[in-house]
Amino acid sequence: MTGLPAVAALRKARAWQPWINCFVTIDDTAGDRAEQLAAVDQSDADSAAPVQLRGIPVAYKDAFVVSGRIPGAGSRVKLAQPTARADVERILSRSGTVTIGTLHLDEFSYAATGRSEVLGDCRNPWNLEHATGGSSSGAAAAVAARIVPLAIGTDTGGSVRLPAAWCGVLGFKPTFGTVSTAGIVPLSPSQDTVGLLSTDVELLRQAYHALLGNTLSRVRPRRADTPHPPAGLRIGRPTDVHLQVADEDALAGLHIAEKALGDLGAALVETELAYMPACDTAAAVVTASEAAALHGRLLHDHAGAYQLGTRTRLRVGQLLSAGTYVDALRYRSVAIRRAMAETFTDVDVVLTPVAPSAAPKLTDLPPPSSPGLSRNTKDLLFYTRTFNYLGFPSISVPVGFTEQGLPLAVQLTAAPHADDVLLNVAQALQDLFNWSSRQPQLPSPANNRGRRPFV
Amino acid sequence: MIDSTPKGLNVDDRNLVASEEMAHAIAAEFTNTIAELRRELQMTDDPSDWMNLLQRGGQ
Repeated sequence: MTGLPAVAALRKARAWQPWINCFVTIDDTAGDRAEQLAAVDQSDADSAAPVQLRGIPVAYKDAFVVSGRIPGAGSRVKLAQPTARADVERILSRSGTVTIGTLHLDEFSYAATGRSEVLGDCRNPWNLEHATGGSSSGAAAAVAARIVPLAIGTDTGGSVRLPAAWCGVLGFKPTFGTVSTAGIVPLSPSQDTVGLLSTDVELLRQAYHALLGNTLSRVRPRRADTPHPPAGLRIGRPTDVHLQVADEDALAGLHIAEKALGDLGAALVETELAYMPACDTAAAVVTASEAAALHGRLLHDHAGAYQLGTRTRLRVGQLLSAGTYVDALRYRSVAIRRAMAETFTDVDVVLTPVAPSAAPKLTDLPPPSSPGLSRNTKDLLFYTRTFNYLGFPSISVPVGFTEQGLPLAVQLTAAPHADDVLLNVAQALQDLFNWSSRQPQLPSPANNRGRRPFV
Repeated sequence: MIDSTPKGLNVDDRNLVASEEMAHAIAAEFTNTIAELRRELQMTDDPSDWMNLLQRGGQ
């Protein structure tokens, strides 16, 4: 039974953990559960569950209620005992996946660096001096290190797509509201979205559809009917004015994807995203206001237990008026109409950078104790946060590597419920670049300049 | 650790002051930006948006 994927995942998790610090908990019973699962008559399994998910080891950001455990949420602040496990973990387990542990995150999902006073920094498997990004830091690192083929995070402003981009894996944020967020520590309920990270588009698609098929809403997205995507699709490229925060590496990734999609038969057209700066601020206001409301009592009673960067952000939310929050929400319907009229009537998919750069060094990002964390990391989410605010589906797709060997990625975004169109384009890019065949190597003192594990 | 700067605050207190100042500065920026968006909202004249009607009423 040692050949079971979950057993191998546990072995890899233990080997990598001292170097990249991506796990919060590793469940040593997962191997036994995988063996039991393999032994039982599969007719007991959910008949609707895709075969591809059976036996697949999965790990969850430590914001999900997994096996009745109180999520740590990357904080010294203790939460109350939850009454039910996360819907997502329940559904995927019923589909045959094996939960092997919980994963590193920024405190309460309210930062994007993967740095933590509480858990220690999460490190990028491609270069241990570099950041993973966050807040689903451990999810991106665990998939990048090939510990698990599928990890589940949350994305409120880019918290799946940004770390996925920096760690060189797929990071998919479905259309808002299509996947249950029950049993997950919230940040901003009007934007919180479950996100999936993987190195395999098809596995990611199977997991996504399993989650869709089990939600109360029974929402069924439009199936993509393009037989050979992206041929025939109209791909929108932002005009230069929207690319000013992107550095050379981010633009190089964009150009690689543009050429590839053009060669595959897509029509590239320039598109206006003039509503993005307004959406970026409105999203920040909505997030801060909702987070401050949710944390009100805890922040009052346990302010000193929060990291100072988190505390500053929550304080911003407390200082905003209800009128400002309401106007930020009201602008959403205007922005959605503008996005549909100005962008998505002319294009099927918008192509942008995910982040302004490839993964920076950890030391180039502010520590979580910095009160200026919010301001210093503002641009990190410029390309992602708008699409949480709008609720549109979006995916981060690897397209290559920098000269320093760090992953390059692009973001693809579509209109609501065109999630499968995105997955089809992601599949075409994966087939073309075969990026998932290149893997980071497990460090050792011998090949890592004699360094020791970090934790 | 006691800081010897004229303010006489220890490091933790100084960070808390910086945090509070930063929060006020960011909140003010956000408030101003959303106030500009409010003007765009008022121009949309969306009949379903009762906020506009309420805010214009009473005169």
